[in-house]
Formats: sequence, C-alpha cells, structure tokens
Amino acid sequence: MKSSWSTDRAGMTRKIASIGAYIGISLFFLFAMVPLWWVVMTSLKFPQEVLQYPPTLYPHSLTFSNYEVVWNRAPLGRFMLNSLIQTGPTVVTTVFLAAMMGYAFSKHRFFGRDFLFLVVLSSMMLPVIVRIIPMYLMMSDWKWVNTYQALIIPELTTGFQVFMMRQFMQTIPDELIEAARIDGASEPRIFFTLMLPLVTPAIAAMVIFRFMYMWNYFLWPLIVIQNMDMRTLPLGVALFQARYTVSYQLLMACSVISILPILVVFMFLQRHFIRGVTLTGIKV
Amino acid sequence: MFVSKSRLRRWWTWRQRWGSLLLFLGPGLVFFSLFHFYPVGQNIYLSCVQWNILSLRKAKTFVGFANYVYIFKDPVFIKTVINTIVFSVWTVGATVVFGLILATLLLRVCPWIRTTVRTVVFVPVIALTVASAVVWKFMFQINFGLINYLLSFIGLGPYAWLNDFVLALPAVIIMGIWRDIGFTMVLFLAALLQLPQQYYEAADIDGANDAQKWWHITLPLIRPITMFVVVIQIIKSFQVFTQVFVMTRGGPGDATRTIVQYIYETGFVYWNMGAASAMSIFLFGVVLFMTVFQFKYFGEAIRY
Repeated sequence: MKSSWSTDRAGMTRKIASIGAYIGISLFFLFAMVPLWWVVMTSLKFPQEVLQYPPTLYPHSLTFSNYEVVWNRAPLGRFMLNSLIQTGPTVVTTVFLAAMMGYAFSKHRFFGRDFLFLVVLSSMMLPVIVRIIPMYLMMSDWKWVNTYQALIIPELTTGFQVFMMRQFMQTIPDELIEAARIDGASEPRIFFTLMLPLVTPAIAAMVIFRFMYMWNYFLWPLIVIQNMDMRTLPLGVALFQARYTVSYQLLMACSVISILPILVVFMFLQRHFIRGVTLTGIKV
Repeated sequence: MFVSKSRLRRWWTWRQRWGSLLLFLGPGLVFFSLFHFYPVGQNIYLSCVQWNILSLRKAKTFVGFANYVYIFKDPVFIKTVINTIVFSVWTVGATVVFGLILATLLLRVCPWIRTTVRTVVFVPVIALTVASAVVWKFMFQINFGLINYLLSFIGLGPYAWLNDFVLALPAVIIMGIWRDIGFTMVLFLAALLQLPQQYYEAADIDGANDAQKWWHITLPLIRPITMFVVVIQIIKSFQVFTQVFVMTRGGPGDATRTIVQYIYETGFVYWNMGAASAMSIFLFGVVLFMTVFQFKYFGEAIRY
C-alpha cells in the first residue's frame, strides 16, 4: 500500500516536471517564432494596415504586391548572384586548403609543427576588423577594390577550419597511413584516395559552416565594395533598409526574400546543418 | 654501390617528405601570411605612426604610443569599450544559460516536438543578420512596433527603444540573444544526447532527484563543451557590428556604439587610421587575453 502511494507521488512529480518542460519550451518557441511570424505577416499587408494601431497580428486583407515592388526596385537577383560568386569559390577552397593543412598537422612529424599549428590556431581569435585596415590598403594598392577577387581571395583560409580538420584527422589511425606509405603510395595519393574519403562527414560539416559564415559576411564587403552592381546580399538588404526606412511592408518583404534561399537549402539539408554546427563543438 | 643506393633512397624520401609538406602547407600558409599574419604586423606598425588619408603613402611619422594614449583619452572610445563589455556579458550569459536550459528541457519531450522546436529556434542562426536586424528594428518601433503593443497588455510603455538612451542597448542585446540562442542550444543538445547513461543509473540507485542529477552529473560532464561555447560566444560578441550598424548606427548619442563600429567609423569615415589601428590592436589583445585566460583557468576538462 505504502509503495504504491510513493510511486504515485513519483509519477505526479514527473508529470508536473514534464508539464513544466512543455511550458518552458513554449516560451522559448514563442520568443524565436514571434519575429519570424511578424516579418512574414507584415510583408503580406497593405501599407495602411501596417501603420495602424493596434497592429493586426495577421493581414486582414492579403497582398503579395510588396514582393513585386521590392523585386522591381532593388536588384536582389543581382545581389544574390554576387553573394553566390563570393561564397561558392571561397567555401570550396577554404575547406580544401584546411583539409590539406589539417593532414600535414595531424599525420606528419616535422620540426616546429606544434608551434606553427599554434600560430595558425591563434588566427581564430583574430577579429576581422584587425585585418581589415591593412587589407583595404593592400586591395587599393592592387586595384582590387570593387572586384570579386577582393571578396574571395582574402577569405580562403581560416584557423578554425584548419583546427577542426586536424581534430578529425587525428581520429584516423596512423597505421592506415603507414600501411599506405609502405605500399609505396605517394603523399598526394594518400591524401586524395585515403584521407579525403575518410573525413567526408567533416568536410560536409565544414562546407556548411563556411557557407553560413560567408553568406552572412558583412564587414569586409561593406568596406571593399562601393559599387551598386557588386553588392552582396547583406549589403543590398542594408542599403534597401537605409533607402526605405519607413516603408515597413517593403523592408519586411525584402527580409523574407533575403532569407528564402538559405532557408530552402536549410530545409533540405537540415540534418547536415545541425551536424555541421555540432561536430565543430563536440570534438573539442 | 649498395651504400650509395641507400643514400640516394634516403635523399629521395627526405625530398619527398619535405616536398609533400610544402605541397600541403604551402598554399594555405601563403594565404595565412598575406591576409592574417601580415595585417597584424602592419596594424601594429600603423598604430605607432601618425598619418591620414591625405598623405596616405608618404609622410608617416613615428609617434610611438601616442595613438594609444589618444584613444584612451577619448571618452567615446571608453564608452564603446563599456558598451561592448555590457553587450558581451549579457548575450554570452543569456545564450549559454538559456541555451543549456532549453536543451535540457528538449530532452524531456517527445522527438517530433524536439525537432520542430530545434528547427524554428535555429532559423535565426541561418537568417542574414542584416535582415534580422531590420525586422527587430521594426518590432522596436515606437508607434507601430509589436513589442510596445505586447507590453501595453501589462500596462507598460510605449517606449522609444532604439531612440532611448537607456533602452537602446538592451534592445540590441535582446536581438543578439534571439539570434544566437539556437546556436548554443544545438551544441548543448548534441552534447546532452551523447552523455553516458551509467552515471545516471548509479544516481537513480542512490535516489537522487532530477535537479541533483543535473547539477552533480550533467553540468560537470558537459563542462568542456560549455567552455567551448563560452569562448566562441565571447570571440563573436566582442566583434558585434552588423546588428548595431543596421539598428542604431551606434546611437542615440553613443549609447549603442560598439568597439568595431567605432573602429569602422574612425578608420573609414574619418580616415584616422592610426587611432583605428590602435583600437583594433587593443581589441585583438582583449580577445586573445580572454581566450587564453579561460583555457588556462577553466580549461582543464574533467575526466570521469
């Protein structure tokens, strides 16, 4: 009798705890969701409805004209193309170079390796703004201001990616590499046919991580790009917001359009996105 | 004959070894040197000379630490340092604590709710920061903003938020928390899902309740990942720029001006490169110090 009473009590506590968990989660969910809801709803309203108080939580009369107006007034397609041209080569090269360096740092022994690695690693803590003034002078010396190469070339390496690649490659047993070396495989061959296939999950994660970073990259393009035609998507959105400060329905439509491409990619590759973020943290 | 062949062979392997090292490290190191290491050196040099854009390439005079003295006498710079620290403390603290709480709660609910909530909370992480800032700027708007409307239900406001000297920085901080909470949550959730179960079973036998288990088992076990999250968030938040640039441009007054925003203005609006370089070297020093300090004093991972 007594024991059944105590299990009842335990079940009760568990139930209360679980209800508490649901309430807590709902609060976080609302916090994340409200701005997303608000931006989509506002983008579907007529201007009069946007400026009325109290605000309506959903459009009482629905319109898609804001999207049409935004698309016609701002060359968002061009901005997206620029962003793609910037992001594509950067992502591929960064990950490839990082894989090569990670291989050297994890599977080769040479004098000064750990020191060199530490130096490369320290660039992780290097704020972007520290690099920007000298890089801008460099770009203007080279006449690279307002060019794609100015967006791409300086961003081809990051300490973070090298660090992660080394971490992953350290988990691959040395015996495998040694066996291949004894069989007479050349180093490039070992790297391409043995190492790269073994770290495919890591490569996928690194690609996604770099893509997220570059797609969002704002500070350096802001400084090195001054032409309208060369603006990347974040610069374009910022410019649009500066021009149409109070046309909220247009600003919201513009924001939605800017989020759509990466959101579609995210929906299809969600698993890899989450894994991309988690892999980077878990291995430390 | 045999000896010379062996020497040849040794030379060959030596050559191949260093050759391949050069091949693997060379290209990367070139880019690192050009766009990471050289800029740091150049920046240190620039922070010790007096110049402006009119004499861009010529006539730089060495002034030692004068630029550093200048920036620390500049009340605006001091204000931006304080703003950045306030922003960092709040966003790092809130994203780490709330991210961990949310991840813990998500463990207790059924998988489809977990996945759905994770997806929605992660959308701000992938959205363009510029676009999110535009949205929040509208939400904080005094007359038609959603936040003032919601606050009116509990009898508060309306507040001017981004035009208010006191509330502007909290507004930017709230946006920062919203943006990053999905990131920390996902990291913590992955860590929690991987925790070994035997400690919890042992604790069950000892009759520990959930809170005790969380405090005495979960927290120590996820300490390494917590460290990592804190360091990454600090490095990120000390460089906050985009949302401030879009939402307030540093205003009203200097209420939300951050270090990076001020460096940007000093360097590329007023073309005072010496001061801008000195500030950026200072920022680098702070970030480096915080990271090293953290790894040194809180870094040792507890192994069980």
